[in-house]
Amino acid sequence: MAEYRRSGRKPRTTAQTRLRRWILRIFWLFLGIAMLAATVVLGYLWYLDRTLTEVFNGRRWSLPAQVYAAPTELYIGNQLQQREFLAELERSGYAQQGSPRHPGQYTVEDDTVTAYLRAFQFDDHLRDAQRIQIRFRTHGIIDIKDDQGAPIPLIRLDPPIIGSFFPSHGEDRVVLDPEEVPPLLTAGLKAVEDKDFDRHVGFSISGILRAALVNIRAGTVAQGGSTLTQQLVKSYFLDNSRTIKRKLHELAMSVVLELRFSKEDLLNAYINEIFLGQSGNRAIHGFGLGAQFYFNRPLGELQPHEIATLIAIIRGPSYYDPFRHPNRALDRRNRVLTTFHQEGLIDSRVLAQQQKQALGITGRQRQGGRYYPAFMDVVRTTLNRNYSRDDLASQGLRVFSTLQPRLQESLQKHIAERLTALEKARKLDKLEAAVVILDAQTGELMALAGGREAGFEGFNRATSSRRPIGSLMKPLVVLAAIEQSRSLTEIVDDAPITVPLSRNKSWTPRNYDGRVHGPVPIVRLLGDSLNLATVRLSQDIGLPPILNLFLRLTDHKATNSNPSFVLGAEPMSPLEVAQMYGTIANGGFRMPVKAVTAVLNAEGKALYQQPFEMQTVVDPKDAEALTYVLESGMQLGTGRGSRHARAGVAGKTGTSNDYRDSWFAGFDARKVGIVWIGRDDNQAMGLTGSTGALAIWDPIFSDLGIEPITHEDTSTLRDVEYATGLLALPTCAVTVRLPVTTTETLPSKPGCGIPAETDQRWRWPFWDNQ
Amino acid sequence: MKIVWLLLMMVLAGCSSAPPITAPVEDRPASETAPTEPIQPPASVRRDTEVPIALPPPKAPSNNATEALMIASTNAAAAGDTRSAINHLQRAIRLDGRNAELWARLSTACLRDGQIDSARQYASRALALAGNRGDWKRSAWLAIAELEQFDGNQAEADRIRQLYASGRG
Repeated sequence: MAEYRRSGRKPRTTAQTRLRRWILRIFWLFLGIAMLAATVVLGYLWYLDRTLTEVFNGRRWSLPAQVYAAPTELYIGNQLQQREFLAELERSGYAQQGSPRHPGQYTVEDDTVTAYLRAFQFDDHLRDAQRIQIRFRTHGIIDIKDDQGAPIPLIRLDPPIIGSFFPSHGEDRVVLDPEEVPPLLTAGLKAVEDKDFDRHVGFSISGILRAALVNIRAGTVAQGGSTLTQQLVKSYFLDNSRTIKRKLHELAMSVVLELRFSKEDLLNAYINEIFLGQSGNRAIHGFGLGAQFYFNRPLGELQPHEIATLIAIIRGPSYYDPFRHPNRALDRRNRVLTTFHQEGLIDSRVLAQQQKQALGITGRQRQGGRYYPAFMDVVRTTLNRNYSRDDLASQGLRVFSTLQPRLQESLQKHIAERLTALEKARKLDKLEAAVVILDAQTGELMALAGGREAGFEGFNRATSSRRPIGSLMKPLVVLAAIEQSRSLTEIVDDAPITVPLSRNKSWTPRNYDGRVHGPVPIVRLLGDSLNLATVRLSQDIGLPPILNLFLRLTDHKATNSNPSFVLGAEPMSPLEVAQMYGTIANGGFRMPVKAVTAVLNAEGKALYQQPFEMQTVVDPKDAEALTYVLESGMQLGTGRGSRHARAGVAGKTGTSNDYRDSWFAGFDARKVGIVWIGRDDNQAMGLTGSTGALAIWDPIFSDLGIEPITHEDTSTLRDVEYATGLLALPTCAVTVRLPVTTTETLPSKPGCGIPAETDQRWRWPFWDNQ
Repeated sequence: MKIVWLLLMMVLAGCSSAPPITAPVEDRPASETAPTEPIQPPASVRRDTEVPIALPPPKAPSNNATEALMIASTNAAAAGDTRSAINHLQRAIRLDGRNAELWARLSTACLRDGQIDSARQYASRALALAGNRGDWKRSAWLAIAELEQFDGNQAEADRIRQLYASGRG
């Protein structure tokens, strides 16, 4: 019994022990799992906390360098027309209002424009916001006053942004501080995207349920349940994949951010981070840039309906793209405005008024009109000398360029129109063009077109296409002659010539018209662009002085040192030609062509200011003498077809072999314009400089307005016959006015009533031949 | 409350493997801790109006702007702000680049700023533009006199000044 009891207790004891052991094992197992899980979770949280906090605390958005156009100077006497000024205001993002009460607004009343100019940090000082009144007449600005009626002698319009150097991943943005964000945007964002933003800790159960309910009712995904914080995390840290794993990460990260940062911090980060659209390879991030991209105005100047549009876009920047789907965007904008009203952000009157407004999207950026890739190419080249690509893409630099957008747009318009007209009239196709406009007095690049298509970011013919410049080189031969104290009336024989080359070869040039013109004065040699006389003169002068002159004018060595150099067998880009003619137009002072005047850092401190660099490379009197000859060429020579031929301009036509390149280089008292027309496949076109390039130069300079060349010292001027170089009166011969050195005495044209002053030192082949 | 959410997050996180934190798409130097500064000038930047000068009655309306800038430049130079003096003159030259008076003044301003080579070139430019115009020639030569003096040619500087002070130049 005892044994039984013992044996009977023994099995019970064993079972209990076994059970206890199992329970213990399970307990330890769960404890182990729990501890492991806790360790993993803690480790994960520690990792998340550390990483997110570090990245977010140190957040520093890449601030792409922004490039500004040259500011428009407003002063009495400026020939700016009222319509041109209004276009400038629009370009700078000013909005027309009944009465301008805020910066960025203007109104027009008859001949007077009242504009509330924005505060702006120029490269040399900060201008406060200021309201001004400008009166116009047909000849330009006649009066500028401030609010108190005091006259303003000079004031600048804040320049438009013409481009930015966003990084290779494409993100472009304008970063805003919290105080720069309109209250309606922050309140509107919460109302539309995240009603519980101020209460939740990263995600919102009620938000998810509300979205689910709406989606079930709509039968589609009409509303998302993501909080602003989740959207921020998604944009900032994660990719776009739709997996549960990614969603869980998103939730965890959102909560960590909420625990670590204030609501204001997160909202501001969201406002600067969120993706709002795409333009080519440029991604539009943040509301600061969004406002500029879609409305061409700072965020602070937007109306409620425009803020609603930006908020509407967030849900699907592609789906609600206002450019491609305006009706869809308008519909959603109006729903956003309704939400504003329901949440008490705007009253019924404002709602009704704002919903009536058109989208008001500015289309300029999409058309490529506001961004000028060819000019920006020159800006980039300049900046690359001093700044790395990373600096340009991230340091928030402000670059002040020399571009004049009004001129640039005129230039692009005329290129497109004239090339089409030329193709139609002459049954040509595939014509291309490049144009450079330079301020000769300062070396500043006013406008530049790298091709026919505005806004095309491709091959820049103005800077990279080097083509033979033809007769554009001839002025250097004449200038070299002037430097050798030869008279502009000296006679050169335009007769067949053969120039010996190396290895028993020779070169026999021909005139454009195939004819021989006999003895001609130097002034006509250039004006009529006579090849034979030019080659003869160059042989007389010698090639080295001409090559040396080329080096002085352009600051680079010629690649071709053959005799054909003097007829323009030297490939040059339009920009290089602009440098060469700029030096002539600037009276022999070479000023390096520049597209950037200053660079400021994000704090407004000047990092770089480009002075007026110049170097005297030609005696100013010699440069002026050449200018007279180039003026004569416009009046009587190959440039005489120009509508500005007698308006006080100087210029030279150029045509390369087989009519492959048509060139024109011309200048007035201030501006130099170089035009090239040709084909990318280098085929013949049949256009000369005067039938091709001049046809583009003319209307551009009409738009610019001619500032006639004036000569201060006229004491050495004489009227001479263009054909013969003899002293003559305009009443009895076709004459040009040329500087004649005091030591010279010239023979007169018989029958002109001028006593002959023949100097025995002087031989006149032409005269002798009579 | 935050602790509750932290625990909830721990549970959620426990289901996951290592976090797929992708590299931030922007350049965000880890060492940088200060938030990004907006593009705004600091308070220390000088604020002024465009041309804060009371002008005498203009001789000709079109000269208003350059005259204003010349006066602004003179005032800046008198206040020892050579940089501003140069900036005002460069701005004036952008408006009227063939005005020899402006180049002569720029030459003198650059000389005072230590930009000797530029000063020489600007003086030459002034002289070239002056032609036979008396007032411009005088300005150009007086700028050259400054350069002569800088080069130690006091006698030549005096001679030029005397010539133009007497109005014979």
